[in-house]
Amino acid sequence: MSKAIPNLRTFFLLTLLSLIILLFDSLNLLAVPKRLIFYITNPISFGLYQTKVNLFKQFNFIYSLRITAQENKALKEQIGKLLSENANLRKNLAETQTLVSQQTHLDPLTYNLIPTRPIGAGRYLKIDKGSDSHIKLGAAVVFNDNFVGKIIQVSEKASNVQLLTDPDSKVAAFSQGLEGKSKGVLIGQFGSEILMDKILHEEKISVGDLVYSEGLESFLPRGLILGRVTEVLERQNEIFKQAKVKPVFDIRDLELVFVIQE
Amino acid sequence: MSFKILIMKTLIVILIIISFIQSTSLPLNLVLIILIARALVRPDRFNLILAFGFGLFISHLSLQPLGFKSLIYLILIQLTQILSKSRLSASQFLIMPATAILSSIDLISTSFLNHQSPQLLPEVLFESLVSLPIFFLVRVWEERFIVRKEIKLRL
Repeated sequence: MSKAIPNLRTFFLLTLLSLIILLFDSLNLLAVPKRLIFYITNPISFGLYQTKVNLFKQFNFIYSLRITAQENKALKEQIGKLLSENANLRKNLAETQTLVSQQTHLDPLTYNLIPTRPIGAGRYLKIDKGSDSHIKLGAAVVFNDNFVGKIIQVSEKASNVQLLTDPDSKVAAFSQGLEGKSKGVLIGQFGSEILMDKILHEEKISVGDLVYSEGLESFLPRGLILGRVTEVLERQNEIFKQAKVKPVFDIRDLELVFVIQE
Repeated sequence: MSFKILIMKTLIVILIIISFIQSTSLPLNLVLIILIARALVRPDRFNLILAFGFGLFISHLSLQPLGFKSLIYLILIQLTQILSKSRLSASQFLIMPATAILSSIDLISTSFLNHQSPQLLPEVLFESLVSLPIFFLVRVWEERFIVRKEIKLRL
């Protein structure tokens, strides 16, 4: 028996001892030694538990960092999309507002207006519509009551507009102010200013007067605003006097301009 | 002889550390696995003493009635030592089913004591997986580090 089951005596002895301890413990006779041992084991258990918690926190932090980085990337992409969408909405709103405003200034029943977007500004203003949208050479481009320029180059999908400031631009104009009215020719200058020339000395013109189109050109309606007088150049020994005119708006601020179709 | 005592002491210290880890951080019965592995590698009286001692210690750490775990451990280790004498012990992989069965007995008895329904999986599965590397480590420990008596041939 003892050969088949090794250390049988020790086994029975220790089993008996275990049973005695179990009995003593159930009778609460071992409370004092247990409490004494707890004084030693509790701090060690607590230290190990804290170490585990800290380690878990560190690993969790590293894991969450990875997820956070992915989330951050996704959110940045989302913000980019939203910003782009927002910009498009703002642009559409501005265009709609311009369209509505334009209809209050030039009667759509009288003038057939084609809305176009400026897509570049150098010497000429480039617009995003061309012969495909029935835009023709020489057509006037307006914004509200203001004359912007004249179409001088047309391709299928885009056109170039000659601005009033262009040196080749010449438009018959008149100024209207509190003191009176004067007639002249508006000639583009190099830079952002326009010169109103051929004004008779007896005609009244002063700084701040608005300058309007005369309407002598076939493409241009009468009464469109061309600019505002900034300076009057008057010399006694010359036949005509001149005035410097400045456009009332900055061409770069425009969201939408309109081509007057015949 | 003193080297053997030192090795024994080291094993006890390792088991104490593992007991603390087991009761605070790792929900695996590593002490039992080491004791089973040692009982399979070298069945001797010292296994029963370790089972008794660490049964008491783990009962204390896991706030169970003192003596209960040592009783269970003693029975399980004694069963392992009987198993180690059988032909089955020739297989190195015996440790895995042995751990699964003995650990299940331990878990069921503990649940019974605490009036809880026993939940064996996945703990038993992990323990049987971990038991194999532990078995090899214990075997290396017992066969390589502990000096045995020289074998004297009778001429």
